[in-house]
Amino acid sequence: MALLQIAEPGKSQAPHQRKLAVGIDLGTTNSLVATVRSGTPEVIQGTAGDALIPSVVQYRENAGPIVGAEAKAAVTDKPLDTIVSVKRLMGKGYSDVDELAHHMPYLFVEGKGNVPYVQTAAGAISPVQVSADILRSLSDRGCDGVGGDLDGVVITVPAYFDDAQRQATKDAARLAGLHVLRLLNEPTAAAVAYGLEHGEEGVIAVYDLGGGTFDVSILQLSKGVFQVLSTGGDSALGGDHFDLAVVDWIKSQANAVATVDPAVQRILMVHACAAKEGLTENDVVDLDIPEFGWTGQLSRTQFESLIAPLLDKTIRAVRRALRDAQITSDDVKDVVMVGGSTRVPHVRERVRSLFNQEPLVHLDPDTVVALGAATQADILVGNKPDGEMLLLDVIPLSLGLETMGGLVETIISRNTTIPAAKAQDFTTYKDGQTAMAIHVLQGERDLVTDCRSLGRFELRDIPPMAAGAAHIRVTFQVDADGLLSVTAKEKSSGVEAHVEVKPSYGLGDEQIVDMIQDSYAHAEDDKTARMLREQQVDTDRLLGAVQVALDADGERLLCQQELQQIQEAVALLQKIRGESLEPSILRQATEQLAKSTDNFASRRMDDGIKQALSGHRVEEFGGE
Amino acid sequence: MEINQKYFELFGLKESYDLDVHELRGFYQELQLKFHPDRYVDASDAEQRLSVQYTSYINDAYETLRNPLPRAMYMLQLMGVDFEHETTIRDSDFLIQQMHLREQLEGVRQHARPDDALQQFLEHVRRELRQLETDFGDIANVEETEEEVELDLVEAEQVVRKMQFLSKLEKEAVKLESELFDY
Repeated sequence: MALLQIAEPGKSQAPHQRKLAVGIDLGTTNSLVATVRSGTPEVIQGTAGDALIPSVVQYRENAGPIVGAEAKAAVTDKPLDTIVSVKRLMGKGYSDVDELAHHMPYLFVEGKGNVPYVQTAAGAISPVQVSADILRSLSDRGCDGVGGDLDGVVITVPAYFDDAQRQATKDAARLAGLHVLRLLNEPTAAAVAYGLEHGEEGVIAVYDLGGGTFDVSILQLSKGVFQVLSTGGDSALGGDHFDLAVVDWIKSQANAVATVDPAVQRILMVHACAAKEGLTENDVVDLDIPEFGWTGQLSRTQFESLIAPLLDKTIRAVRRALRDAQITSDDVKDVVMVGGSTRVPHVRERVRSLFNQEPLVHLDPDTVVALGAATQADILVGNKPDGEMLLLDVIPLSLGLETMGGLVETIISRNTTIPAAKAQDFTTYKDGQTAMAIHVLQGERDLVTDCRSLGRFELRDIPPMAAGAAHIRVTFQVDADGLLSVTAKEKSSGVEAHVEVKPSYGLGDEQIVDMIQDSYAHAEDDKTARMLREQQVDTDRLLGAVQVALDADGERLLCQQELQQIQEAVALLQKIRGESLEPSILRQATEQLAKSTDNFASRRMDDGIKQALSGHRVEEFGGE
Repeated sequence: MEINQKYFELFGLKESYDLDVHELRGFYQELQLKFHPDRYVDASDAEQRLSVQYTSYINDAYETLRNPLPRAMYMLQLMGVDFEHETTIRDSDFLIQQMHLREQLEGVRQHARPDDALQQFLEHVRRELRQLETDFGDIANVEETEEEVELDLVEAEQVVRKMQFLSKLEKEAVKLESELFDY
């Protein structure tokens, strides 16, 4: 049990100030933003009372982008300038767009970092920029809704997103100027909204079929801990694909060629989507598409046979997830349905027959993810200091390295709980070898060519030794956002090998910084002002953290001299924070304080472990 | 930072092969509640980094102790057994049985009812595994005198090697299951 905290006399804590945080569901088709008000998560609506913002951005010449409903209205008018379903392009390489070209009628150009840029009236735009524009619009709505600047956001991503897709999402948030508290997996967010409402205990399955992605997660719920046992899915399978199956069917009915004009393709998609929605209530719908010169009818039975192969894929993924969780469908207490596409009756039927129970559909499948994200954002930002809720998630896909012969050696297996760290030792192949190339991959297959390339690392400055004598330890670290970082060290000499990361698909840190600066290129003041504000937020966070640490453990864990040093460093930083308008000076001073408190931080953590061990469990030892 | 707390100590458990997995999970979640990065969102970068490292270690420890084979291997590693080093299994009956099992698994595809054949196979392998876990527990949990430790270690390692064999077979059977029934 957590101990109650009592402040020292005369040093009473400032009255608890509620922080402003939102949860963002950045969807393929629609996005939304939610926040916790008076203890209850709710969706923040637009001025027109609309909850959903279509994830559509229209780019114009010499004018800012338009996001949402207005942009969606321009889809058939300006098909090449209006980007829909950009989520599909996140973390993808230019070489991947061939696969997507069928349903993405854009002019792609190869941009920096092998990223596919879309040629629009406003120039070549990267998927990260498009996402950032959607996020800005959501964050504006969030600020209006909560009445102030946001202290932090939680952004949801499909559980099955790979490292490159997650990184691209985080880059977009950074570009939009948002402080990301956590990337949260969509089914986990849904489980939070569902589980808290029902005070549920036991194993639940979340079947999440959205506009462009499918996820399944199996979770164990107990006493506020949501532990993901396994996850699976397909990051390119959703309602859009149902529409596409209908479009292909219409084309075959009309004896038309597969490739049509982008504008016509858009019109067909709109009709297909309407037909799909109509079939939820009706057994048959009429289709009348003058632009295509075709009329006809689509029956529900026909529609169901069109989507059957897609649903088979989802069912296989569910069975795999059950197997990975080492349980059977009988062990699952509840099946929670999430995502707009679970409105399709046939989807529900397939899930019902697999689990042999009625899936739960009473939660609004469109909003449940955002509501869960808002709850988590509220907790992470510190509005519920005594909250005992905890989410333990997993990585969806195995991480590994290329070895001899183009084979993949798995380092961290899929469904490992995160954060996770694993180390692997390597040695040199030749005498005097001073560098080593390492290729990082993600996926379940044995061959490098069948897995996703995440990046290439070059270890340099290895001291020259005889072949096999160097002892290089490569460590994979996956953080709580599911993002991988790699470090390497030569053990016999203790030399920290230099690691250079080249992401296979995505932008390097420098490019992101360039993009951020570009967006302020016309106004130098504006740029400096923004950098200063960002640095101030960073500085304040550190000052706050150090103060909390000093109040709690300063006198107990530091000697008088150490305590004084830190207090002086704090006072100095506070002075600079109050006076300096130069971001770089403030950054240096902040780094200085961070450095001088590193030791204190690790002492506190070690102490925490000791306390956790000695605080209880006496009977377990004593009883022996 | 070096975390070198023994896994058992980390969860406040005595070093024993028999452990209550539910109890372990309870202690594990308690530690996670305290050290998870979600609890350090507002902390300094150093504390955030440490939290990620600690919880990675806690997760690894939990996975190791939770599962019978890794737990057995871990206990022997603590006693100095090196699993990188190849050792042969001396029990010829066991090796003959393994050959039969392997043939049986290869025959599943040609079986009239592969579904049933595979289920039977899996049940058999899992039963054998449970038996070996019991055997290991019997050896590992005995209060040893100094002289007996050596003997026990050799015997315990033999049991673990057998578990590795069967566990590998089990994995192959599960893989075949997904292949045959397409999921």
